[in-house]
Amino acid sequence: MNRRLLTLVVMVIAVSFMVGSSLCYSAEPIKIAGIFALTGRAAHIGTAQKDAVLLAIDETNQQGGINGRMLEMVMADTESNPTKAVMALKKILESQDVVAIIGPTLTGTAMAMRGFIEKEKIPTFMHSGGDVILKAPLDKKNPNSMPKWTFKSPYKAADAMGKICQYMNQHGIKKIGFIYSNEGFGKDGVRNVKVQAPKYGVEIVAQEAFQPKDIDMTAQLTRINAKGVDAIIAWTVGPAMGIIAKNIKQLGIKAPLFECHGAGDPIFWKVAGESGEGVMMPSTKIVVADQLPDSDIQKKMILDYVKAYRAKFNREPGTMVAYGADAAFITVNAIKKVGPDRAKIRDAIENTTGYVGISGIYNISPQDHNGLSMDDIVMIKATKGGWKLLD
Amino acid sequence: MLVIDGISAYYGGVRALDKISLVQEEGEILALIGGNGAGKTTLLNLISGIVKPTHGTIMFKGEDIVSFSPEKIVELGIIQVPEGRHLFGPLTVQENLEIGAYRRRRRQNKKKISDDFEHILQLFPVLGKRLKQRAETLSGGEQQMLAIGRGLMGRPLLLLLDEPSLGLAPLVMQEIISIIGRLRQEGTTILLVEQNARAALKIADRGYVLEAGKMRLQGSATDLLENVELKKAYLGNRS
Amino acid sequence: MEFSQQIAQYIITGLTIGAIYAIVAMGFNIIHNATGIVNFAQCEFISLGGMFMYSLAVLFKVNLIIAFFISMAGVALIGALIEMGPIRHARSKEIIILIFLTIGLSEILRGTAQVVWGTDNVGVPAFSGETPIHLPGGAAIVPQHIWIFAITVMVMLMLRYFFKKTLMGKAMRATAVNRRAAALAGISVNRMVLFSFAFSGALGAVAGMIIAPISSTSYDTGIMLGLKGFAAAILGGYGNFAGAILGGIILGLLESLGAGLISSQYKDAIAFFVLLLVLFLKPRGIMGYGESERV
Repeated sequence: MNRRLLTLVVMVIAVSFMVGSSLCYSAEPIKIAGIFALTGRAAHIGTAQKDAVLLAIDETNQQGGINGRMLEMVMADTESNPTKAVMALKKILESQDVVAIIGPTLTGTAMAMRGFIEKEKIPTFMHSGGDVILKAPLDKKNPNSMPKWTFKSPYKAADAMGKICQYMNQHGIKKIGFIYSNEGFGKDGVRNVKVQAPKYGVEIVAQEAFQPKDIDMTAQLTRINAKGVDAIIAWTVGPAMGIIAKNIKQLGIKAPLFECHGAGDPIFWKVAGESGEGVMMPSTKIVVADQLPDSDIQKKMILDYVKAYRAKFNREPGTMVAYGADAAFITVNAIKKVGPDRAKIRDAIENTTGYVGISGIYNISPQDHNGLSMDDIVMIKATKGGWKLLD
Repeated sequence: MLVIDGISAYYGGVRALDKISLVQEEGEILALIGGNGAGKTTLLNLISGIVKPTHGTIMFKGEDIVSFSPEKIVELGIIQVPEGRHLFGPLTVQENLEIGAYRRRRRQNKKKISDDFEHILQLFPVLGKRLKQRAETLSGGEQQMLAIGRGLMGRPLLLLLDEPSLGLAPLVMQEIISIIGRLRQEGTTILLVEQNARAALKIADRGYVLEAGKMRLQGSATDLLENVELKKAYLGNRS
Repeated sequence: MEFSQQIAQYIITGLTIGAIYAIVAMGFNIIHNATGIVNFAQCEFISLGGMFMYSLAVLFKVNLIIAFFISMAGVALIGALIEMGPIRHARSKEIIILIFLTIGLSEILRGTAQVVWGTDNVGVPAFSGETPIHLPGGAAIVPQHIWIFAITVMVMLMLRYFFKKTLMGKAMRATAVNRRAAALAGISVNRMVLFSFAFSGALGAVAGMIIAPISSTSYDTGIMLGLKGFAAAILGGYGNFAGAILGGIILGLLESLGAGLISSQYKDAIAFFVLLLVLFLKPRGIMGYGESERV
């Protein structure tokens, strides 16, 4: 009898809790899908971006949500794998009513998801580095079939490459070797370097590939070095960033190493160790915010965000974080403006101009679903476990 | 020494042995006779602990060993030389013999083991010439000698010999049989399973006849050799 | 850089990577010979070795040598636990079912590692600095490469001694050849299988630890190395001691020379092509002679 009574009391408490909490949030939450590489090769990037997006959503909810409705992120993992990414996306769309999607992380997964997203007509803000997701026609036979619903927050890889080549031009570097990981992002880099290098009088004399999971690139670097290059560009993210830096030191190659715009992240130091010293890369301003001149209009908001990020996650934000945060804030702003309607959100995102984000100032338009320019990018140098702003 | 009482066992869903009982005294050679599939090998595997019975007990020196693991049974001194010889082919002759003494590695000193090793080489001089050769390169007769030698390295109190003459030329078979005789003189108790009933009974003290999992006959070796029924079934027409 | 110097560099690189593949291949072989199964958890042994090393040496600042041996013992213990638990008590002893079981165990280990360490790649300090050494042939290496070579050679010599000279090692080989006969000789087959899992764990851990300072390590680094090691084992002749070494080194050299001389884009395809070619000509692998000379 006693036990039965106890059970009853517990149940009453439990039920009242559930009723109580649902009363508090009587308005249905607005759902956004967050699809990231939470495991697999790009897990470190995807996890950072997931945190950045969560931070943006939390901030919005703390300020009372959108017209009294809370934002809720429905999360999925691409496992850094294009097939898994599409499966995860389909699963979410079947079971949840989401108004927008943020993610995915990798170019390969983004390309795999893109067709489906365009068909389902959901505004999607991707974090992928590769530009192909915006540039490649949806239908190979129809060059005008450009994506309507797909946006990307990281500045265009072409601009990042341009920034490197511009820097090389200013510093007398003429002959370069290019090494890339043999998948979506790396191949995108090959296309870009071939366009950007000639613009700045830089000649590509060697071009080598490696597999994303390879543990040694000395063979490729030996070949590049044999061509007598002034500098080497490595276009990859993940452990390979560090392996290449180490292999270059091992081989005694004197040519300076440039890496991609994804390298400006704490992970770089973890995988490169001491060998990371001196590597240069294009980056968002987030990692060198305190070195910016006070006249920079982004400086204050970046420093505020970095503070909030450190407080919440107790670690340093890398350049990847900026992409997640910008995508989330622009999407949230669009929802705030037009309400939870997919088509209206898309239009609102497409009309975002002069938005001061962490990665730069976004001027999105129907012709440019990214909105950043080369001026938003800075060149930085890995120095003593941190980053130094180059001029 | 060995008392098997009412043992039954299944093999592949079929009843392989049905309430078998058997007694063996110390120093005795017992011949276990029967055709293919009579259950002889199953019985040996029961004693060795590789197959477990559904009913019955197996007492060795007053201890029920039914629940013992095969290695524990080897440690007690019951050693089987399996049918088809089951040598470790890629290992050398010497290594095969060394593994025969695996269970003794901690209990007994190296001197005793190497004495036994020398003794076995006396018993089978041909093995001494082939010590570094792989076991799989030996001839059939040599392999059988190695198998017995390996069994003897375990210092058996009870040696279970499964079809030692199988597939051997008559001359080699004679040699093996004479060696079994020598082992008996040295005081080894032997349970000998044979299809060649005549040869087995000639050196055995007593015999058991298994047929389709049941014990058909038992008696002294000389009685069994004279048994009319047995003659028809297993001994052929030669008297 | 002279062409001959380049070749020297490719060969040195190939040998180093090949040495790692060889150790991994040995791990696969030992369990295969004891049980007949392909143990896919071998990949996780590699990852765990690297991550244990990272935790001890970087997070807890334990002396590198001590960290090395503790990690090795730790992963060996995990290997042993896998055998004592799920493998030994599996209801079915069918090879194919046990193989699937190891795939499942591998997922569980990887998932657990992901929860414990997260997904980030992390570095492990090199055993003795990163100052490059220039060899007479013109190739450059870092001290870690010497460690990889030395440790691989030492591991191989120790394994050889164990399997050829000790009674326990001979008993393990005997069990690999014929389980029933081994049991009749008084060898505890269960214990031999247990040892084989512990050994493979230790070998996987060593591979993961010696490469970690070069490639960095994460909860899933072992997958790629594991698959390459598996390929090396097949190339050499699955289950064969010398074959594992040969297969590892050939695969390492193929990758490195393929990338350096032919095309870096197709280096894996080149290695894969040679693997298929060998298996087409010698289905049992280079050193595969059926049962003979197994570990």
